[in-house]
Amino acid sequence: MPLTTTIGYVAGTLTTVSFLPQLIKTWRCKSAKEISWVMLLAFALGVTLWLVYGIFLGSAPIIVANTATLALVVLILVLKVYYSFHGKPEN
Amino acid sequence: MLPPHSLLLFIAATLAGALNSVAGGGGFIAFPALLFAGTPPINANATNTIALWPGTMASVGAYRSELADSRTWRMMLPLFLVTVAGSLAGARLLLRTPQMTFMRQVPWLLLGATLLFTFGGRVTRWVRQRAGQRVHASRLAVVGVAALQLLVSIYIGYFGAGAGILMLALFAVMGMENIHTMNAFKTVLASCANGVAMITFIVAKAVVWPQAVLMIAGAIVGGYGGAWYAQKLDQKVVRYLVIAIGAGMSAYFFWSR
Repeated sequence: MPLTTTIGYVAGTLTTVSFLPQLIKTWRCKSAKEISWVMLLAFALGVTLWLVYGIFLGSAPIIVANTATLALVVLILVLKVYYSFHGKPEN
Repeated sequence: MLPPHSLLLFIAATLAGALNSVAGGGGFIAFPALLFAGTPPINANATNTIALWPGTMASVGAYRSELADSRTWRMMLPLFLVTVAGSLAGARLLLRTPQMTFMRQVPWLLLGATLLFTFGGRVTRWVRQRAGQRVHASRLAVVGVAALQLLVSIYIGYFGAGAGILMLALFAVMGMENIHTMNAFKTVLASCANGVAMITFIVAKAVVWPQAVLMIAGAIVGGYGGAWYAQKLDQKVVRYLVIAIGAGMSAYFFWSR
C-alpha cells in the first residue's frame, strides 16, 4: 500500500475511534444533554460532505473513514434525539 | 439485450415485485440481475429504482385510511421537505460517482442492507418497548430528526435497500406509537424519495429503457401475485428468504471482486 494511502487510513482510524468513548459515555449516562446540538449537527454535515468528496475522488481511505465516523456520529445523534423526545428510558 | 438476459430480468423483477409486496427486499434480486445482464452498476441502480417504483406507489393506496390524520401530516411536513432534498442529492451523488468506485461499494452496500433487514426490526421493537414518558422535544431535536431523515433520503437516492427499516426506527425514536401509521408514512416517504431519484435518473439519461420497461411489467405481475399469496405465506419464512438472498448476493460480490 502506498505511504499516502497508509497515512490516510491511520488518520481515518484515529479520528473515527475518537468518537467511540463519547458514544459509550452517552449510552451509559443515558443522557446527551452535555453535547451541543449545533456542534453535533455541523459535525454530521461536515462528515457527510467529506464522504461525498471521497466518493467523487474515488478515494478509499476518505470513504471508509468517513462512513465509519458518520455511523458513530449518527448513533450519538439518534441517542440525543431519543432522549429529547422520551426523557430517560425505563429500565 | 440478449433473450436469456430478457428472461432473467423479467423473472428477477417478478420475484422482486412479489417480495416487495410481502416483506420488502426486492432490490436484492432486481439490482444484481441487472448487473448479471451486463448493465453498468450506476445504470443498473437507476434502472432498478424505476422498475420497483410502481410497486411502492401501489402500496401507498393500500394505506389510505392511515394517512387521513392531518395532525400527523403537519408533524411530517419537515420530513417531506428534507426527503425531497436528500433523495435529489443522493441521486446526483450516484450519477457523479465513478462506475468503478460504485462497483467496489456494491458488496458493502448489499451487506449493510442485509444487516438492516436482519436486525432493523428488532431495534425498532426494542425502542418502542423501552420508550419512557413522551416529553415535549425542543426545536433543535426536530432539526436533529430532520438531519437523520436527510441522511436516510440521501441513502435512498444513492442506493436505498433497507431504507424503510431505517425510517421505521427513526419514527420509533421520535416517539410515534401506532405501527400502522408508521408503516403508512414510511411507504409515502419512500415513494416520494424514490420518485425524486427516478426523475433525476431519467433526466440524466441514466436509465436503460428496454430493461426498465421489461422489469416494470415483471414487478407489476409479481406485485399482484405477491399480494395474493401474502396472506397464505408465513412472513417469517419470507423474511429469512430475503436475508439469505441478501447475504448470498453480498458474499458473491465480495468474492467476485
